[in-house]
Amino acid sequence: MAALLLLLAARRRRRNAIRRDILRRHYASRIIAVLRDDDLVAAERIVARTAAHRMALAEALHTVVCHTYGTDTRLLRIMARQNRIDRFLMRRARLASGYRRATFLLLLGSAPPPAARARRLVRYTRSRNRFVRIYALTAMLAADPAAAIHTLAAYPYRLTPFDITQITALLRRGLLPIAFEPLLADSNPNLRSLGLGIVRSFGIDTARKQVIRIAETDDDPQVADEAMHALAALGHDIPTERLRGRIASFDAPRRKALCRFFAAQGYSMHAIEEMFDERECECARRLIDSYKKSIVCKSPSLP
Amino acid sequence: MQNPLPPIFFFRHSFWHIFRSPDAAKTLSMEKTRIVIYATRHTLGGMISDIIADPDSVVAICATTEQTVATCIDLAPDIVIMLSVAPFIDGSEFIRRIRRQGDRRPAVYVLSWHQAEHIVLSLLEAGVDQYLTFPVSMGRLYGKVRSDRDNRSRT
Repeated sequence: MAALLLLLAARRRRRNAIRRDILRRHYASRIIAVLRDDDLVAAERIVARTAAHRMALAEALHTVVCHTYGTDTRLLRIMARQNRIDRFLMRRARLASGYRRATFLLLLGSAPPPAARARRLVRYTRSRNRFVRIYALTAMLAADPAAAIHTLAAYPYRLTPFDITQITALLRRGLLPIAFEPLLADSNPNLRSLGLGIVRSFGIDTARKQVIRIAETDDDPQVADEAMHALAALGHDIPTERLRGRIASFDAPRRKALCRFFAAQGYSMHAIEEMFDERECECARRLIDSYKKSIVCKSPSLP
Repeated sequence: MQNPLPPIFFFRHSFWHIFRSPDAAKTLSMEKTRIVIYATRHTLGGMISDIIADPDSVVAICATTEQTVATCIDLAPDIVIMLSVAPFIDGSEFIRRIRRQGDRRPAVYVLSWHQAEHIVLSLLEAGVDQYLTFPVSMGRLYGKVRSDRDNRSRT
């Protein structure tokens, strides 16, 4: 009897998932048609009356917004505001908890509320759940891009590499008016980390000298480590003499991860041996000579 | 697990012709640009299909590598759009299975989130013609597909 009930519940879940998928696909198709034809009338005709339809519309908006750039945000805002998607998602986030709340906040980043209402999201940036925190932050940044630096400076936790990729995704969509130079010189470690993330993500070669300075002299070991990663990602010559001492001050797991990253970026064993110990170099040598070498490196390590 | 559903065909013009006879689909599709999209997420595959489709194209969306290869062999597409790099690194030798030796058709486009230079270079060396990162410009993607079609019609 219990097995039968479980089977029926599983079938019902699958049916609901297919229905949701069809709805999502329907709204995504209509949104793309509106954006392609720049059709304001068609945008105003997209209506979602029930909770299931609003959720599907929010997910479709999120898919379109995340995967495209340069679209007319005015049309997207019309579709979101006339269906009150932001209120719907904020209400759902308030009633949910844990990862479900994080899901609603993630969708809110693509249909952000007005700046005044977005201040209610501040309390979620203090959540114990790291996904709730970062998605609340990105929703606030999307709602009020002009206050982005102030919002980031007030964030009470350290930004992780995942957090920085979520924020740079907003930059790639052209949402945030942030320049990297003031961030690299800021006293707030979160802003410095974000500046390094931007340099790494966009491959900004002109910032190389500043990144080397941060790698050598920054008080915060996490920021210095991120500067090393950014330097390796830029792919130019590494001033190994200047950085060897700084790398030696890192703890063992951090040094090992950094060594593997240098190897994966294609640096020669000679450059790696100048910065790391023999045991760490052995890890790099194994990575280079592994079956993945055709993916991670262009040439095998020298014997 | 292989997806048991057949690939989904989207015909933007004269939809009813397809069901008149078993050969109608092939006849109709031979006159139009044939595009195959590989996408593990149905919504994303449909979104890309809506961006690039027009009355002069036939688009098929596949959810697995095997389904994509089978559709490419059956449909002989002009362009294959991959929304994942998994078929290129799982040992399935995707390009070799859909192209004849020494032939550059169909054109293979990859759209992905990867930005690392070595991954992009590896894909290009594997035979990919065009690599685009997400987020992608709708107009640019449509323009690339259209220019590929125009070049093909000129040769």
